[in-house]
Amino acid sequence: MLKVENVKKFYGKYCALDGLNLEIDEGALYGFVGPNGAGKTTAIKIMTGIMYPDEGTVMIDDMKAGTDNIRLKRRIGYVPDSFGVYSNLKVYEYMEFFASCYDINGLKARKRIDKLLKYVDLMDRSDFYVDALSRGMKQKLSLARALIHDPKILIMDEPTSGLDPRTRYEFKQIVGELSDGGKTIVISSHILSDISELCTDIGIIDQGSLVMSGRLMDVMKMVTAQNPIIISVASKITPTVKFLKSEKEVKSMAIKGNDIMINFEGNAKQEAELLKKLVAQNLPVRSFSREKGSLESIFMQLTGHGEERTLMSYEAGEESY
Amino acid sequence: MKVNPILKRDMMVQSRSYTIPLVISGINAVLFLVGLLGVFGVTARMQHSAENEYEAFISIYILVVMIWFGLIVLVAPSLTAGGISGERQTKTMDLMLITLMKPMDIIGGKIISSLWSIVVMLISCIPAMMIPLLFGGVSTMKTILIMLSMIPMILLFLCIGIFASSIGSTSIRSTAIAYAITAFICIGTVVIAVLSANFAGNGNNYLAYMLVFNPATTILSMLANAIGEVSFLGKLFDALSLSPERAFLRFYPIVSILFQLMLSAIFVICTVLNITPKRK
Repeated sequence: MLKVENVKKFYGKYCALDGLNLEIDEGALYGFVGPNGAGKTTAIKIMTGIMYPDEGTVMIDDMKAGTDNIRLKRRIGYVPDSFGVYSNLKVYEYMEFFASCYDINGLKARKRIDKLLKYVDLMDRSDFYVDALSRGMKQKLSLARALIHDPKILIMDEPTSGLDPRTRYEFKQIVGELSDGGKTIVISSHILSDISELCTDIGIIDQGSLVMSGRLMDVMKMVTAQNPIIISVASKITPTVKFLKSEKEVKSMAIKGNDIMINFEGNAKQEAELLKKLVAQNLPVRSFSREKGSLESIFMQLTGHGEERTLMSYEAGEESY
Repeated sequence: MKVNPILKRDMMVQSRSYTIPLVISGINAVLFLVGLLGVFGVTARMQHSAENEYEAFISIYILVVMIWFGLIVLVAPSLTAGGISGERQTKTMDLMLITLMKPMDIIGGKIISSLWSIVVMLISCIPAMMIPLLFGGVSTMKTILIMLSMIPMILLFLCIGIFASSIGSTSIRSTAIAYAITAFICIGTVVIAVLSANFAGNGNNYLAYMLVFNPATTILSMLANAIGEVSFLGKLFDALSLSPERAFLRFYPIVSILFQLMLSAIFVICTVLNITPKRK
């Protein structure tokens, strides 16, 4: 459906995208995650055709972006990170304007606009000036605008940032419905909880290249295996700590109360061996488990902040080794 | 009939704004003031001296037309100078570029909507410009021709504005760039022609040909023709050490308008290139 191959983009000497490769299947709800300056917006602009890459290609439905622009433009809807406002246009006129930009006029345009404004719950505001709408309403209007030509792919750049929880919830509902309706959706967001709730697939971008991509569940499983092990002990902690220090696979430790978090560099078999040894040593182990993967932990690990994550888990009263 | 969406939208937005009516009122007020004061002054003097001073009315007419031209030079570039940079500032440029609209449609819509506003200004100023002609002096046909010849000149200023808008990051910067280019075309070309006259040999000051790009010379040559001063251009180029062909002088308004249209086209092409997404 959407394939980004070895895309590079430079702003002067600064490399914003460094050989980005990405593949999004038809009907996927793809979350595009990355820290500030990772190249998300540049990648999105290249996908939409607003910007051309310096190297590499973007293929949409086997059409190369830039060579068959009109057909591609009919397929893509774009919701930018900042809402573009024409201060002297009313909501309905704003929609009519963009409908006519896609050669949709007259009765056909009016029917489509009515349908979309009802869909995003803005019909009662159709006579309001766009400038007078709240941020959430503007974002809904932006979504309606992006859907005016019924695109197959919807690309959204930080659509939920700055929205209140209720509007965010409504927005996510709409996006979910659109995805259920068969649209391929790409969302970039900093709000990781939104991505983990909404998306079926995820891509993590850092310093201009994709560090991980795949089904959200698969990525979660894969990263969970690299998460720290949390060992809870029932009584005195010191003997357990002493024992763990002697194990060569234990690379670091942090303690909070009776919980010991260890960075364990071993496979599942070695992990089982460690548990066996702890029990054999008669150490009072109450629980032994890998910390569950969250999108936040994945994000922190893959974007080179794994250590920060370790410390974040044990904030107060901790004792590091 | 399919109407350019930008044209339709801009016309609607302009109709809600007080800017154009205020500018039209302001320009008309200035022209009426100059025209009426001039005519009253001359007629009062004629009553006292009992002499015919019809040439004075012609001078007032030329003054009114040149004031109008000066005001248009000030207004026209600023009308389009915010066209592209304004869209960029409000983050709507990307939204338009992802639609089926081509850069030429965007630019065309913006230029035509501004041209329409200035044509409205032009038409509204006809009564004010005709005041000094109450006693005759220039035929109605020639006055209409002068008016019509202003349209390509206005187009040039609008194209300068839109070009500046595509290179300026903000509307203020774009307006400053537009005025700088306009000043170069209206004043800079004259300064270059005058300065080069001192260095070039007699009749060889080819840099004076740059004046064909200057709409002020076009309007002056048309006014000179209208009032019967057919030798005006010959004298002007003589003073600038250039001896052009007789046909060039005869058809100067048409030649200069064609060159100005060509310059407008260059500005439009450059604007299209500036706003089209670039590929390596």
